[in-house]
Parts: sequence; structure tokens; C-alpha cells
Amino acid sequence: MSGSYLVQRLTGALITLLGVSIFVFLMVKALPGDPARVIAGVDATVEEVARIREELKLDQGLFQQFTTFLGDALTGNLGTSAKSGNPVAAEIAARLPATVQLAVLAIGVATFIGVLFGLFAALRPNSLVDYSLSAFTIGASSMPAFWLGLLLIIVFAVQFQVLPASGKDTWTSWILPTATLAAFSVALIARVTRAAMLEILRQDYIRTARAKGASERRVFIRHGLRNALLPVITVIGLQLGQLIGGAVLTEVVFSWPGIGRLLVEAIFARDFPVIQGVILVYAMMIVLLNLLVDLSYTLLDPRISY
Amino acid sequence: MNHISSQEKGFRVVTDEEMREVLRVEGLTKHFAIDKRLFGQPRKWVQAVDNVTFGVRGRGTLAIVGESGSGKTTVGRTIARLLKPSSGRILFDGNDIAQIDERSLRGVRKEIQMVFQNPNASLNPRMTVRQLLCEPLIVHQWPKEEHRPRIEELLETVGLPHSYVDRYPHEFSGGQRQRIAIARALAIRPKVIIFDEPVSALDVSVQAQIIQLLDRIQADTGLASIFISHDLSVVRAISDDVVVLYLGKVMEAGPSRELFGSPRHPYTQALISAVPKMHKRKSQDARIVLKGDLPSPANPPSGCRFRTRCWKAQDICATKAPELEGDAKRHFVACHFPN
Amino acid sequence: MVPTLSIKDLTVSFGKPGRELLAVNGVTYDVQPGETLGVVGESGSGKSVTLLAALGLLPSPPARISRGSVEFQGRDLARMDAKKVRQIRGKDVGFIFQEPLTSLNPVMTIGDQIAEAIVVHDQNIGWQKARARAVELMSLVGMPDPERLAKQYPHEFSGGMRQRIVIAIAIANNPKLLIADEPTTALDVTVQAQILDVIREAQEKTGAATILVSHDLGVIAQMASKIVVMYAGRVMEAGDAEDVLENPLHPYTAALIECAPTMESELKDIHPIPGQSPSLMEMPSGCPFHPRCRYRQDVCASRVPAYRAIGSDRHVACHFVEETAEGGRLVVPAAIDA
Repeated sequence: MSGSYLVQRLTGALITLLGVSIFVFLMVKALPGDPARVIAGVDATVEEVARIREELKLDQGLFQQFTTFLGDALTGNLGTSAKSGNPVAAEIAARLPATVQLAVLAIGVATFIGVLFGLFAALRPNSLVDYSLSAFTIGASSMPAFWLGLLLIIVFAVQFQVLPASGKDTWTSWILPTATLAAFSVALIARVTRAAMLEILRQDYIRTARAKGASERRVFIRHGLRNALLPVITVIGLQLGQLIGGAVLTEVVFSWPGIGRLLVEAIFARDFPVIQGVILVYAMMIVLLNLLVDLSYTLLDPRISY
Repeated sequence: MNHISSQEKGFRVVTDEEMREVLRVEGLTKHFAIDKRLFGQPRKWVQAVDNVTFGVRGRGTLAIVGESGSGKTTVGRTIARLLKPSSGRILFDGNDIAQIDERSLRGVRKEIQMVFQNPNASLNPRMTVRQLLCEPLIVHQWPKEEHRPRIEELLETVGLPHSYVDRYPHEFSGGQRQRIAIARALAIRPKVIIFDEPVSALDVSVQAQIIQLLDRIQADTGLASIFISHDLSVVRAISDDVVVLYLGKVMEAGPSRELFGSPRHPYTQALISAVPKMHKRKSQDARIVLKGDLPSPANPPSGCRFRTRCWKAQDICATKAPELEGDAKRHFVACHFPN
Repeated sequence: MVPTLSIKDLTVSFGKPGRELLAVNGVTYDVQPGETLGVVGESGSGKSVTLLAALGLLPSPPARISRGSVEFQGRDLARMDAKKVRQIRGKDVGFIFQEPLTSLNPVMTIGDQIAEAIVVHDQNIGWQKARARAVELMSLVGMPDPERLAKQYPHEFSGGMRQRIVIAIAIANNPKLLIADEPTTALDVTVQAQILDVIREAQEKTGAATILVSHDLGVIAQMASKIVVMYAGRVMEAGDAEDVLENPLHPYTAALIECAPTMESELKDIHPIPGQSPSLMEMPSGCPFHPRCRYRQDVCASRVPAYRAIGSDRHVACHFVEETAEGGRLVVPAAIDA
């Protein structure tokens, strides 16, 4: 890998992030509601609102506001929460681990089950395993996370009372949110694994391996799996991004103390600095994950070098 | 009009109608950028075609022969202006079409058509034969009442029953699909058709059908053609003139009989020798087996590009690229030590 | 002498019994130790399918051997269980395939791919020794600097070099039989000449019997001492390569020779065969070649001609070939278009 490729990719990533920050900044500006008034409270006088507006530099020009916002963001200052008065960065830092832990656990579970499921389906196309995979895929991808989450709560927490419905106190409280979050990814990963594997098994080099007299297990694992992994890794990486960003609903349903719930709370409270901060953090993580996925190709496939 | 460039020493001026060139390529060069950067100029270029000059005679077939990486396909696509040449002239009907814009190209496209190797990829699978053949007529604004008779005529020309007109490409065999592709190229009566490996994907028995078809069409219509191929026996059978390319440069060129009869460039000799002969007893000549592979076009050898595989190579071959020089028989060769 | 490979009445079908399509129909030929047999035919002739099926390399289902036998050194592969066939494949039988660009695993070093061929048949040798042997094999097939190249991946090589790697894999265990399926079709003509030389040398070193499958009569003529001509899943003619090419008895063989442009023929010497090879779905009745044959008679459409010996060294499947003192000849009332 040449350094110039890395520089190119990083430049691209920075441009993306700049775009996101402009978008986030303008989006908040375009929203109805005056942040100064929210902070000041309903009873505040006109002078008080004006003072807060000046404090927040809301009276300045749009471009100047943006450069201030960007400069602050770069130094880790994402502003102050309008609601709690704490620094936004600190609020996010407190909530981020819960989200990341849940997403990583979910993707781990989804990868394990999904790849295994997909491999079995590819090994025996049009078998019972294969058909149940399709059924499961359709089911999982047509069920919205909040609905599945509620369903799981009703069954396991309310009906049978074997698992907690919310919180993050015991290890058992991880089970339902993980399952909810992983369900869709399992289906997707299984489907991609199956398709990639079937495609690989049709390749000429698989025939070459068989012509060498290699056992079916060897053909399948040494020659099939490694080649099929590339598209699977792509999906896993992108799914992890999705899970971190897509955990919002799951976190709300299970009262999970992550940044997804922080975002929802901030939206209801019109807490603009927090909204901005959370979205920026999301964008950063997704850009970073994409970068990691791309770079991981070079390790998996010798044909790809940058 | 004088079609002969001054650089070509010993070129005989031919006034005969048959010898008049319909298309002439002079100093055609095409580079492709590789290793592109986000900003600024690319770091590396591949010279796919380097200073190629030849003329296509009326009613004649000029074959471009070469192995993979020779640039033969790029030459074809550049003449059809599917690619823009980096430099050089493409003279057609007295005009240089090398750098003209998209608008003026429409007129040229009517006169220069192309047929590709793989008819499966070049025929839209969702169109019937009728639609496929109608399309060029519509694009070039033929009167509607002429469509039906023209399609009948075309099917007749390429030897397909008229009852096939409402079928889709997948209902045909490879050879039949190539006939459809040829009919489509012929539809608006072009002056030149560029055939890019038109028979390479076909079975031997069908290959011969298409070769004869092309020969007959040419005799009937006076079409000039450029026939791009890696197959020397096919080229030998159908071409009037041959250009031998190696890594984007012309090694040897001349009338087919002349070039196959007494090849002068070592590369041409090796190519001809490498074709497996059907009858062992008759072929007495010692086989020339070239060593090594084709060098990468991105990093061609200095001097003569063939020198790394040439058994005649001397010091001068590494330092000086030989000029393409011709004799009275219009037989050109670029070699310091030709036969 | 026991033939290295003896195929008898082999029939390979695709699809469910009752509605099956025959890709190979009653094919019989054999190859003796040290001999090179050329199998020639157009696409759909079953020339490759015969051999892939014989060595259990066709996915089954849908393909299966529905009739006949495949004896490798006297043992019938068609009735052997898959595991036993696998032990023969790659050890006693080496394969060279058409597409060197796709027949190597893109994510495995070429040294490992060659070494694997040794390791799978010898559990005790270990990877280190197998890799050292792989390097030897690479220099055997004419690859310069094998130590270094062994650590590289297939995409770093040209088509010709990749085909050398495939040949190294094929001869890794000193096979008794080498099957080369269109080994040079995807290569440039100057490289083709090199690869044919490498195959010839490999064969001399291992003493293997060789079956060379090709659509190119020129390649077959250069390499083979015996020839089998296939069409639409059947053998049309077989015999000594030079004899068959000089004096073809079957109308298809003759037509195939006449339609191929060569470096000796002119355009007027090329006689195309009308029509095209039949698809499996629309196999003609009687002799499969009869719709395209210029000598066809009524009987050709109704009866499949027997594949029979003509003279000492020739087999032909045509109603109208007769044995004569000089060998055989075609005897027909009149040609259709002549």
C-alpha cells in the first residue's frame, strides 16, 4: 500500500466530514424554534433572550457562526447542552460506550450466526436449511426494529418474565437489545455469505482444487471461504455503521443509555448543540468504518493494493 | 487528392480506382492514463498506440494483427472515434476526423461502423431483430417507408430467413447473432466497417461461414473494412493488406500476399511460424519459438519494442527505434536487420 | 498392454431420468501409456464433458454417468466411490485447463497452490518439503527465479506463466495420465508455442499418457499421435492422427478440415459447413451430423450409424464408409450440393 493512497482516502474522509458538518450546522439553523428562547425559558424577558443570543453568538453572520462552530468542534468543544448545561462532548462521552458496546456485540453475534447460516445454505442449495434461511431473511428484514423489540419485551419480559425489559444493569439485560439489533444483520450477512459462496464455488479455481484431489472440506474452506469473505467483510463493516446509527429506536425501546437515546431526548428538548454533536459523532464513526473496511481489503485480497 | 505522405520513401503513386484510399491514419497515437491522482496530471501513461500510419483501400480489407497488448483494438476504437486519439490524423473523405466534436461525429458514425467480437454483449437482449435493425435507420433518419424493405434486404444479405425478424437475440446461435450484428452495421450503408475479432468466439465451422459472408458482402457492396484479429490464418484468408502491431507500434505492413509470402520483420516471421500447421509432413520450416512474454505496455523496452524477444537483437536495437521504411511493393518494415 | 485410460460406451446425461439430455452418448476410446491422444471437436461436441465426467469433476446432480465404463489402469472409475476417485485425481491424473487466468486461486501464493497438490496426496511430507518441491517444479516448467516467484500471487503473472503454474500442479505427483483441456486456447500464439513445448517436455519427463482436448486441428496435428473426432456427444472418427488428417473417412472430419483457414489455404479453399452444431435439446435423429452433411441419404436420418473398425487402425461412425485394401473410403451415390 502506498502512502499516497492513504493520504487520498483521508483527504476524502475529511471532505466528507466537512460536508456533514456544514449540513448539520445548516439543518439546525433551518429548524423552527429559537435556541436562545429555549435556554432562557418561557418567562424570560426580551433582554435576557438577547443576552443569551449574544452569548451563543447567534447574532453573528451565518458564515462566522459556522467557522466558530467548526473551530470549536475541532478542539473537541461541541458546545454546551441547552438542557443540562453540561458540555456536549462530556454528555456524548458518557453515553457513547454503551452504544458502541451494544453494536459490537450485535455485529459479533450477527456475523457468527449469519456466516454459519449462509455457509450451510450454500453447501446445500435448495435444501431445508436454504429455504428456512430465505424465510428468516424475509421475516427479519420486514420487521422494524422497534416492533421486534416490543414483541420480544412482551414475550420474554412481560409474558414469561425471564429477561429484563430495560436498563443495562445485569448481563441478562443485554440479551433482548442485542437480539433486536442483530436480527436484520444476521439475515443480510447470511444472504451475502450464501450468494458469495455459491458464486465462488462456480469458479474455475475450485475445479482446479478438486482436480488436485483436495477433499471437499479443503475445497470449501481453503479455496471457497477465504475468497467469499471479501463481500462479507464489506457488509459487516457497513452493518456496524448502520447498527451504531440505527440503534436509536432500539435504545429507546429498551431504555438503553446510549447516544441514540441521547439524540432522541435532545430532539424532544430542542437541545440543538447535543443534536449537532451526536450527528457529527455518528458521521465520524461511519466514515472511519468505511475507511477500515477499504483498508482491510488489502489484507484479505492480494490483488488489491493501493 | 494526394494521399501519400512524404515520409514514405519509395511509395508508388497509384491512380487506379481500386487503390484509392478511403481512410487514412497518420501518426495515430493514443495514451491512457494509469495511476490517476486526485488532483493534477496522472503520474503514468500507457502508450497503447504509438505513431501508427496506414491506409485502407476502397473495396479492400486491411487487417490489423497483433497479440494481446498490441493495441489493435485501441486502433479500431479510435478510428471509429469511440476513443479520442491523443494525437495524429484520421483522414476520411478528405477530412481529419481525429479531433472533431460530438456533433460533427454523427455524420462520421453513419459512414464508419463497428462489429465486435461478442455479439451477445453488443446486441440488446430486449430488442427483436426488427428493432435492432431499425434502430440505426431511425437514428440516422431514414424515411419510415424504407425501413421494411431495407430490413428484408439486410436479412437476405446476411443469410437469415425473414421469418426470424421478431425473434430476440437469445433465440439465435453465436454465428447467427454475429450475422445480426453484421446486418446492423450494414444497415445505413456505411463506407467502412471495423470488425474487431468478429469470428474469434465462433466454432471453426461457423467461422468459415462468416468469413465467406464478409467476403461476399464486400464484393457486392464495395465496402472497405478493417479486420482486427489475432488469428493469422483467418487474416491471411481474407485480407488485402496487413498491419502487424507489437506493443502499439507497427512492425511490418504491406499487401497480404507480400507480407505472408516473404515476411521481413523477425516478429512477423515468429508469428507466422507459431501457427500450428495441420500437416506435419508439409511444413518443413524450423519453428521459431519466441522466449518470454510480451512486456507490459506500461513499461515498453527502449529502442525497438520487440528487441527483448528478438533473436537478431544487437546493441543498436536498444538505443534506436527503427523507422518504418517501405519498398516499391508497398511493403513496410520497422527493423534494423530485416530479411 | 493395459491402456492408461479406457473409456467404453460412456454416456453422460444431465437432468432427471426420463427427461434427460445426453451430453455424451456412447463414447469409446482409449489412450496407451506414453501416447498422446488428441480429442478434437467444436463446442457442444462433448469432448471436455467426457473427461470431466470420467474423473468425477462434473457436479452431480445434475450430471451423471448413465452408461458405460471408465477404466483407469484397469479400475473402473465410474463405479468407484468418490473418495477413491479423489485419491486418483491429482495424483495419478493431472489436469491442465483452458483458462489460466481463472483456474488459480487468487488469494493463495502460487508456491502454496503447487505444494497443496503434493500435500493432499501425502499426509507425511509436510508443507515445508512440499514447498521446496514446488520450487523445483516451477523451474521444471521454465519459470525463472522460482524461489522468489513462489511467494507471489496469480494476478502478478501473465497468462503464459499462469499456465506454466497450472502445468506444474498437474505434474506435481508424476501422474500416469495428463489431461489438457484446450490448454492454449486463451493464450497468444507466440505463447501457445511455448506452452505446447512445456507440455511436451512435461510429458517426456513423467512418461505420462496425454489426452489433449482442442478445437484446433493444427494444435492436435502438432502434438498428437492418435486422434478422436467428436461431434454432438459422439465419436465420429478415430485413428492415427496423420492418417486421419491426410485421409479423413468421415464426412464430418473432412468438412472440419476443409472449413478451417490455414497458413497454406486460400479463401477459395475454405468450405464452410452449413448450419450449426445441434444443441442438446434439439438432437437430430439418426446420425447427428446428417442435417449438415453433403452426402446425407434417407437412412442417415433414421438410423444411428454403428461406430465400427475400418481397417487395422481406424474407427468410423458412418453408414457409407467401406473397408478397402488401402484402408477405407466413402462410398455414396452423390453429394447433395456437388
